[in-house]
Amino acid sequence: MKLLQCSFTPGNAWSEPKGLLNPKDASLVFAFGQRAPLSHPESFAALRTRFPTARIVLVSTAGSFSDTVIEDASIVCTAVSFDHIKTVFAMERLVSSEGLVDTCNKLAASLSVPGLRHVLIFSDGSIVNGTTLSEAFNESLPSGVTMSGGLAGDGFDFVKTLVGLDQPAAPGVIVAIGLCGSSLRIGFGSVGGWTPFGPERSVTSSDKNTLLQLDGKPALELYKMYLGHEADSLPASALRFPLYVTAPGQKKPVVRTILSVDEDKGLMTFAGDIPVNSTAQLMRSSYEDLIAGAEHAAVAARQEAELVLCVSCVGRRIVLGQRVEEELEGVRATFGNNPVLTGFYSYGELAPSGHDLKCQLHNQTMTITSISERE
Amino acid sequence: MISHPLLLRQLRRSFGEDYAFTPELERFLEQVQDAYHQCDNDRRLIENVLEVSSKELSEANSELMAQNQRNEDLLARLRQTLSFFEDKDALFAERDLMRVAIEIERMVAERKEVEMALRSAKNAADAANQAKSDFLANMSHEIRTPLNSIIGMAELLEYDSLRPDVKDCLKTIRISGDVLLSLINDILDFSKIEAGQIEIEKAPMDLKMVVDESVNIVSSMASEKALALELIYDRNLPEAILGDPIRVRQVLLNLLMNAVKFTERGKISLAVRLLNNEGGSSLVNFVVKDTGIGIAPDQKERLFKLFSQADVSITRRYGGTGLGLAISQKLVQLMGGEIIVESVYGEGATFQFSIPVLHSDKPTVSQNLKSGPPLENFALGKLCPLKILIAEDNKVNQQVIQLILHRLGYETVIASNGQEVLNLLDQDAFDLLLMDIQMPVLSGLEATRIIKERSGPKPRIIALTANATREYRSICLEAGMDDYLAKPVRRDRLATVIEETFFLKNGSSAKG
Repeated sequence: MKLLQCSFTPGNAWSEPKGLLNPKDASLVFAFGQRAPLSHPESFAALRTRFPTARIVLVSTAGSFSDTVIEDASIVCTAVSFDHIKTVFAMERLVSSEGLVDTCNKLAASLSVPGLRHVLIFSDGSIVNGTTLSEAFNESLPSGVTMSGGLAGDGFDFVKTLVGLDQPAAPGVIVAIGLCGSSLRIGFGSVGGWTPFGPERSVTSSDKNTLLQLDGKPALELYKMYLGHEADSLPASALRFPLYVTAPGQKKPVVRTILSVDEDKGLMTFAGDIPVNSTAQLMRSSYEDLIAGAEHAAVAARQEAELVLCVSCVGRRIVLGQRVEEELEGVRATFGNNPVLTGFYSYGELAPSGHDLKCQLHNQTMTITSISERE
Repeated sequence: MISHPLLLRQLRRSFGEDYAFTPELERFLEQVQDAYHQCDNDRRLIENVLEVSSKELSEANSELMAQNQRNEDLLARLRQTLSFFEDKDALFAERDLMRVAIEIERMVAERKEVEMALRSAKNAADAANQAKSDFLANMSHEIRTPLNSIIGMAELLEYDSLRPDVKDCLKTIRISGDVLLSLINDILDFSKIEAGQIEIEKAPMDLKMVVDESVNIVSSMASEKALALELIYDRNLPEAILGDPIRVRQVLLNLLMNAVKFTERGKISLAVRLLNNEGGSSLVNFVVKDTGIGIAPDQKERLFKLFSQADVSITRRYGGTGLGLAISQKLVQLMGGEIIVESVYGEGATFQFSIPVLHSDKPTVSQNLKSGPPLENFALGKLCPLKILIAEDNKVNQQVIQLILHRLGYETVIASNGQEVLNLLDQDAFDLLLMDIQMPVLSGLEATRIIKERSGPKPRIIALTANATREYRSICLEAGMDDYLAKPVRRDRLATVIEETFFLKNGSSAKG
């Protein structure tokens, strides 16, 4: 596997590249950037010129990882050329959220080639329900095929998210990359570092991923009470308190993070479903816990990796503030100096979990997929 | 710009008041400042979280404690109940409980019984009251109908040229009828007063006419006893005032008749004056003075009591129900005044009362009529020619009214029920319709309603009924009748109604 990492800033051209790969030989490029640089008119042309033969995957982010540095103004490009691993690509554009399951089935069908081992998913993070997406793929992908990735982000704006494959990124797009072959070595880790606190509450009114009431009281009011002066910067500030949700009949709780808030209707939209009668508890964290969480994820995914793909939650960035890069430094420290590190702050992380390694939507985690090739 | 107070202070402490940094250092300091702000915000947020969550938790805690207390109370009660059952005397205790239950049941049943008794008593009382009202109305009707005939016929015959002794007999019949009628009226009024059902009207009224009428009625009685009757009428009194002419006349008549009744020699006078009140409002003051037997001081108080006359011997000597003064006093009180009596026993009595004057803007109907000399037979028919229709089912009454009208100079048409009235009105136009209320086929009220709904010229409709109650009058007016005459119909009243009708007819046609 040969790699090259460099950044493109619209109007300011390319940064000094790191790596041995000749850009013309690249077969796959991950292009992660905030919505502004990513949708800049000259961006895609610049990428195409630089990597003429590569499949270019574009994802809008809430901050992109160039090694342990977080870039907001530029597009971080990580170019890959595999020695043995075969790749297969699929892209679909969703018009409305209703067609999501069909779209996922279509994508899974396109990827069903012999030797498929793992799927990397990069999806729109605004209209796509991550829970539905991961469940649909779990149904339609052959057993033993794992899946990881993330939902695109939009800074702290929560307006629209863009994804693209070999064309300028657009809303509603899902891109799937199938990695095939026995030489693929892959590792996963997904850890949050959040602690539930305060009373356990019951979800009394909700619809799919919109939450109205906890214990018969407006959920938005509860958040405002806890946020205090931070309530002014809703919905972003609500990410400081993810929800620890145990669905009825389930034993394993999931962490759910806020995507948007409708002040008029008192609705809060979460990155995953919150069924009625679930128990819910607010969660909080400290810098140290979050950074330790990132390190634990890295430990879980540790191997002799060549490429480390980190998808972290925008909520962590909001809490960590200036100390945000410390979680990347923790990952770097765990993996050593060799692998190339990239990724982004997202609106939802996808990673296998549990004993059957079914893909699940995660919120508020550092989710790591480490990749290497071996004979 | 560095604004964080702590960072500013630190910079001043290290570099003094005037410091200048390179742009790089300035950028670095700004990042440091952001970190300070981040720390501050995080600390504030954590403090808020601690505060809110501890509040929430303590609320949850107190709720739990309250729940716990409730549970404990429940448990204690359960335990008590259990020990109660384990007790050897439980059997007795159980029996006690049974006794309490039975006792409660008995009390409930008792209360229900009392309630039911009260309810049926109230129903019975209501029914009795209604029966009394019905009885009065019926009695009024039943007695007035034959009286109507007696008085009407007697009055008619008096106009014929008969032998003087027969005429005297007729007169006695008529006067006795009148007395009987006034007795009935008194009893009716009394029952109304007792039930608080008397209402005083505030209609435009011609005070002079009411006074004159009253004096005219007693004048014949006075002249029979060779008593002088004097009227003093204040010229300053307004022509029209708001009041109840029927009730004012009733009181005046009662006082004047009493005066005539109890005076053997001398004179009777009625003085009507305008008094100016201190507050600026005016009063009409009526004074009836006689030179009769007078009233002893100890009898004065009993004068106005129902069924009491000054002396039991009075009843024997002068007759009467003993209701008149009590009714008059009550009526005057309802009009806002009070009858005051002064008397020197054996020398005469003075009864006086004052009622407030309410000026009327509207002229009364009679004010517009030129009052002329008493009408001779057949004279009115020539002065005020009208087409008159009489609706009356009783043959005797038909005859009486027809004869009275004939004397006044009118040829009339008779209808025996409301339907006949409608049929006749279809064929011909009438100016005046004298309508009985209780008629077969179609009642007077129903017929009136139908007539009023019709288009085109309509007769003036005057109710004629023996049902003398005031509710009945309002029922008649509500049905669309224009006025009301109580039976027995009197010649002078009927003449007044005819004059009014003629005036209204010509007044309106003159306008048109």
